[in-house]
Amino acid sequence: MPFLSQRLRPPRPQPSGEPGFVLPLAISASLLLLLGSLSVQSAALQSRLSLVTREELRQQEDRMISVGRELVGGLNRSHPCLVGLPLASWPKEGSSCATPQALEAVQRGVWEGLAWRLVDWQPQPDAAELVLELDPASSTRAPRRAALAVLLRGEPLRAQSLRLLGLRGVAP
Amino acid sequence: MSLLELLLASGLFLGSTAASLTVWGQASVVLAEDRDRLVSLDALDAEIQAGEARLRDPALGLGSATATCTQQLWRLAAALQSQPAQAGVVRQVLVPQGQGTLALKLRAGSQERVRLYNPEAFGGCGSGLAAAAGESGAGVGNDSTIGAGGAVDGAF
Repeated sequence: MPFLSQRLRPPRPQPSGEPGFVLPLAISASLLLLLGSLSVQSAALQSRLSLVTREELRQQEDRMISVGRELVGGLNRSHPCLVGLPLASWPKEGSSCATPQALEAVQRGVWEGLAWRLVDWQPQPDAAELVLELDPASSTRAPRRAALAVLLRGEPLRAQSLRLLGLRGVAP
Repeated sequence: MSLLELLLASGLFLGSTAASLTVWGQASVVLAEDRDRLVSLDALDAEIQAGEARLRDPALGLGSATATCTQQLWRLAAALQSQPAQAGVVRQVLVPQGQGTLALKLRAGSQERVRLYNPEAFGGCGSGLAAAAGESGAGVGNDSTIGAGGAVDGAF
């Protein structure tokens, strides 16, 4: 009965050269450790990216609000007749308070080394929407546009205050 | 299990543990820095919000037909300095001469924010900028700076 004798034979001791469980265990543990640290590293990078984005956003908001204040301050001071006119009507109807050169000058400028331009000005009876475009601080970035709401009051109409409605990038 | 296998396994495990600890250490440093920057960012946000809230104070007289731009600038500068700054925030109120504007410069840690305030953007002034500049005519060449402590370093 060769078959039975084979089955009843005690298990053969493992030869010393055959791999055991330690190396696979070490490989698995190492992989787990590396995966865990990669995951922590990506979480840290994600956190940094989110923070940098938030910082840049705040600085862009500051720039846009500052430029908006500079622009509406200039309108209130030197060209009050433009406050109640949409941008498209400035060249014709705004000539009573602004020369063509002044109209050109009021629509663009530089603040903190960054060039800006007026994209749109749409007054309503008590508020206006102002759209500004600001060159990026870095040449690799796209220009940013901001929409601002400007409160209008008085007779003649004057800009009273402004607040940021939103920011967005502009396709180059 | 041979001695060679044991040595290999130990080396592999120790190496990956060391690499992993290094990465964890770097990540924890980054996260700690980010936490500090976030605190600074929030403090700067709060300071900006507080500054904007002060603009709505009717006593400030922004847009008043009776106050000149210079008077409004001084009131604005005083109002922005009237409250203690947020913890960790260094506040500077700069009044560049002859520009009729005021720059609020805030610094917290490595971050800085600058916001411009132009009294004429709040409804105009009681008299023109030229008149205001004439009133100011102190002839001081430097910009005015009012630091966090309220000390005036110059005059406009």
